Amino acid sequence: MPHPPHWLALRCLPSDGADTWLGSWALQFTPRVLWLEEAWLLDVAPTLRLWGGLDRLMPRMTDSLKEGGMCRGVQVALGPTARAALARWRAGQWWAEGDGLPTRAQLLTLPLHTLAAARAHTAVLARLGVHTWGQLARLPRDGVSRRWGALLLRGLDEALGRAPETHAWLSPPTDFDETLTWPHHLDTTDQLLPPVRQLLAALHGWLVLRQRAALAVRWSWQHDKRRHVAHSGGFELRTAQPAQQPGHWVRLTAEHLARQTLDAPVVSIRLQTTEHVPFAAPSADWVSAAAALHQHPAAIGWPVLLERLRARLGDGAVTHWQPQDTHVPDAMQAAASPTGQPVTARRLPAARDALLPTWLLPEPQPLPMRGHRPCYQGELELLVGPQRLELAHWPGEAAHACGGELGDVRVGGQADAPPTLRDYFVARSPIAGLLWVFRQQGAAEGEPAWFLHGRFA
Amino acid sequence: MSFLNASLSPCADLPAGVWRATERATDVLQVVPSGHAVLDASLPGAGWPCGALSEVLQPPGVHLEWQLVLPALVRWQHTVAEPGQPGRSGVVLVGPPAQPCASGLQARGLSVADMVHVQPDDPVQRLWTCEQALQCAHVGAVLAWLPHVPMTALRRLQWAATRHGGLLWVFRPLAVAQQATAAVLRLELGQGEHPHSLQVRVLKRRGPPLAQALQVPAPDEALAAVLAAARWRNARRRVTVAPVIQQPVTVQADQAGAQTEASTETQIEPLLGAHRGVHATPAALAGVALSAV
Repeated sequence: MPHPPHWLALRCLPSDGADTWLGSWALQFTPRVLWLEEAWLLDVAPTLRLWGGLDRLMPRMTDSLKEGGMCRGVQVALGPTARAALARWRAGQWWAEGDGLPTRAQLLTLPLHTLAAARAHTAVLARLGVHTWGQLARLPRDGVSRRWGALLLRGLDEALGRAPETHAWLSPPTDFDETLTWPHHLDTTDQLLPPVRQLLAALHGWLVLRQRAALAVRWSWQHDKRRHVAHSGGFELRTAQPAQQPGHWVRLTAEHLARQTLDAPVVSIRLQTTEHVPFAAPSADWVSAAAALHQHPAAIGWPVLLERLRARLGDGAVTHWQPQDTHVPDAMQAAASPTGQPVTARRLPAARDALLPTWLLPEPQPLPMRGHRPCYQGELELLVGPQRLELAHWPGEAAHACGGELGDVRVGGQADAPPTLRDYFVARSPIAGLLWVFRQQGAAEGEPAWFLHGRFA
Repeated sequence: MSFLNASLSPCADLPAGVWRATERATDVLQVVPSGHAVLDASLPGAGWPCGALSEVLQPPGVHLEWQLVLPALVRWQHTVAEPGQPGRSGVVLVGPPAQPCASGLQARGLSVADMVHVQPDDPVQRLWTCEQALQCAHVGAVLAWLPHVPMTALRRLQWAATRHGGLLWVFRPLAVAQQATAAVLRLELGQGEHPHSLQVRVLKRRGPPLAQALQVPAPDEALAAVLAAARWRNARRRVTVAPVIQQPVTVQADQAGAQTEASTETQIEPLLGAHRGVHATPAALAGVALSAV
């Protein structure tokens, strides 16, 4: 059985402007949202069963507002029609826990000024002793219509559900783009968080309605106009796994904001989606829900962890080393930005890899000499080697190397450039343990010939 | 006597989780065998504790971490984490002293697909990274290098590790050995007497203190075989070359060389046979270590 019409009137207090973010936010609860005169109206009857009734929907809305940090200002009123809900909102009859739809008798006690169609005539009607909807409804219809026009009665009929209402529904755009102007200047990045939360809550509503999940968003803000600073700023955020829930975006944005500096106070902030994909909600089942109970309560996923680390520490600080299919020691592994997606091994370990060190220095480190012996925390004792590697270029993508202890065959390489030779040794330092060192062949006088390249830790 | 019996009797039926200070704790924690038999014999529960902070202290300039933890990490990845499943196979390195060599680690059995190297700038960010990693259900082990860390932060890490249930190693300088620690296990790691071995001193464990240092052979068999081959080669070279160069020393060198050769040859030959497939073994054999000259 379908639910009887339920309308919710929402408005932010105090507020200037149309609070467009609130409309977008409301889209996550019902697709039937419109802006009427001075508030957002939501027709929740079609989706009420989905949410499990009004008693479950309302706490959910409050929680969502709390998450966005904007619970304080928003008031909700309930009515059987859009205009009745709006009138109750104007009369201050806001929803409280346990409230249901108002009865017709309750509606008839509403003051006349709450009805937009009657506003122009309230003074005259008051002198006639007509103060409430009920008193107006009891007057003879044809006389009222002749005296004050048909619009007054039509407004009352629409509000009481006796005549059909026509609505211009809010239609979500194909891309989310919302700007929030804050009543006062925001001086620090911390102060940017409340508007950020509101915009992300609005983004969530938009994503739910369009059944999309965001992959990348763009934040931009306008500064208070000053002479020597830029007028705007911003950054783009990208996530590995498409996200619909605002919590993930809030955390990412907060981490990025913490690393920003504001040149001047911010007056307005804008959020756009730059990339979004269709969202397929994961299906829930009893087994995984039971398993999740035994897990860490705040356990986070691998992609989320990597994103958090990258957001706070910067992309360069989080590295995944991929073994490369070359035995050029300088190009042996490539830094990749870890995405959290499963990766297939680029190359299988070769048998000779077992003799590679476990730590690698990013740059070979020249070693001081004592006589003819290289030193690193004491004189080095060469245990194994040499293993000669011959290359046309160190290091180079185009260079082809041939490995081999005897330097037997050269493959590729440029004929004119003299090949570089390195003799690799496993050496032992009295303090630092086993090291991977090499001797550069043909090093000029005065140039370092011995280098430390890795450690067997 | 009856008084003593009466005072001891409550201890007899204590629950299993209570550990008496005179005994080595056995069943307090879930453990992962360390892969070193000598070390396992001295660790409570015979392995690295899961869900607890293990502290490893190293003298300056020494980095022998992988030799100590790699066998346990490999075992963890093979047993606890199911291959192909998004299980606890992630390894997070926080502020390591150098780049981990992915090929080298892979060849020693570690799956590097889920290994992440994080290099935060300051100590606070390092701690934050550790804490975040210990909240991730996918992470199996966290290796953190925390030279400067207050005691309170260590306690917090220990708590995070308890909730997480994975492996956590914190590597710190030896200078902090006198400071109190919240870690369940504290080891001092240094180079062993042998060129390719470790010396481990158990500074703190759930059990009676351990006075003597443990000599732990390195788990790296391929490298050990190559080193042994090189030693054997050097010994032979000494025997053949030395008499020609310097007569008075020859007798000693000859004797020493002959002994070494006799003792090592029988052990080395099968090893060489086993590792002939290893590409660099010929290098080791062909290479004449300069130390012999």
